[in-house]
Amino acid sequence: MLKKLLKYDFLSIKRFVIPLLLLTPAVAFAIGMIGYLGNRIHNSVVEIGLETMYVIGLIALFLSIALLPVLLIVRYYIGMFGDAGYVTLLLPVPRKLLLLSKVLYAVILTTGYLVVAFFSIGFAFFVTQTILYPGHTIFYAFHLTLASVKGLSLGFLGDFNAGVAVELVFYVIFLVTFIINLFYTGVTLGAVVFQGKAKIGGAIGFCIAAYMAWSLIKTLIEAIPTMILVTGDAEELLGSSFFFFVWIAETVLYACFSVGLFFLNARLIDRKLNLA
Amino acid sequence: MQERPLLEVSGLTKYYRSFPSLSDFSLTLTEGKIVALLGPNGSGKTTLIKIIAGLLTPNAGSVSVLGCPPGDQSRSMIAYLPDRNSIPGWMTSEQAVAYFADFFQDFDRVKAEKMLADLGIPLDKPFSKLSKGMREKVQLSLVMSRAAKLYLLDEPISGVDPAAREYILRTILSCHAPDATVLISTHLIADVEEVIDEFVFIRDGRLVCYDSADEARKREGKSLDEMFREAFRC
Repeated sequence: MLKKLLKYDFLSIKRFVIPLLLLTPAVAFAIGMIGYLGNRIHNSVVEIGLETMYVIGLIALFLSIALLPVLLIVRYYIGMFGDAGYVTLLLPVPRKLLLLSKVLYAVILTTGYLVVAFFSIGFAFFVTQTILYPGHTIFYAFHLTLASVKGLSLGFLGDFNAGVAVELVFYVIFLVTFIINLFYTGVTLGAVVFQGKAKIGGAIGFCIAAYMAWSLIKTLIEAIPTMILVTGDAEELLGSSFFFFVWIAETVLYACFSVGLFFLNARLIDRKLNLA
Repeated sequence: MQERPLLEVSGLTKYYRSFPSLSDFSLTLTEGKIVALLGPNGSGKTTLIKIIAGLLTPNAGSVSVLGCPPGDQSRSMIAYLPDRNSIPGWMTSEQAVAYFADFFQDFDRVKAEKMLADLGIPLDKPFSKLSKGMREKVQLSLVMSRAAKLYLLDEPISGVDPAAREYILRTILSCHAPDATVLISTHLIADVEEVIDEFVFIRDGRLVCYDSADEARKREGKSLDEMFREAFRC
């Protein structure tokens, strides 16, 4: 049954995701080419034009990355609490399974898309970086992207290799699962607390509240390694494994929060549903 | 032989903010009946149907379909036609048929395709591109192609032309199994008068009258439409 639910969830968003998946690498390629040309052509007028296009391209790239989570949350609202909910919520399947399908397809899509976006940004950086700093490999560009994603300085990461890539993918999967569950629960809360047209406002309001709660949690999580770093002892004790342990701790925390939010959301849908 | 209760509603109360939409509403329907749920706008008809379907949580009271409370099991016995377009806009009629066939074991695919063909519905057009009347016909065809125990039809004929209305009423009459019950909420009493076995009058969320249509007509010497006008005169 889960397979069937997933099939229709993927079908429902196909028309938005396919163009997005094509658009992101295309924009990244264009940014890379603009960066390349910008370093070859030494004409101030052309340079200003190219720099403007470079900035616009970067904004478009980051906007396209932010678009998918927004789309997924809107689809969740429409599919569960909009008019389509009158079919979805009447399917003779346990509502936990229904929710699991919505979470799984969102996690698969977002993770897949982030991998595409990561390599797209890496490519855009690579083209520019190899021009600016000849001799650097494509791995350096991905390394740079990874450092930006994690908010860490390059020195902490060591070399970008297969191990780091696998670790990053796992980290992203758990983080994405947490974020999806957080926003889904926010939408559900809005939809069960408010009725009629106020449902949409309620869902947005609870999503904003959920985002703020997450920011707080994130700050707390990130404060732990910072505090340990200040004392200096832990890094000396654990050596190069220090950041690996920090990542594992973050991943476990996100996994625990995700499970809690999933069950809270399923309970809300089962016990407090108000499709008015 | 004693008739088996199919739907049991007891002491249902539902508030929208502080406004009561249903107040201590109780009703028992038996198998094999076509029942009209009649009342003015805002009387609580849709709220009652949604609670039975499991789409609304009541503030008090209970609902059971063949002894099952709202849940996976009751959902497999209920076929619900909402008063709005519920099929996602991206789906074609063909995909909607496949969707119902995938999830409802009691869905008759051949019957649905025949009904859609009779009604002249294009199978390859997305739902969002169909007219309002066509969308209602698709939804009704899908719902009536199920062999459910309880059909909940919320305003099934309000948005369609008189010719299609006749076809839909014929479909409702012919499609349900002898032991299934159909609960129809409508304002178009004259159109459904001939097909119904029982009727429920509801006002301000309270049960006003639940009776056999034939017996009430004989007793009062009036049509159901006239009785409704008298009971709910403004």
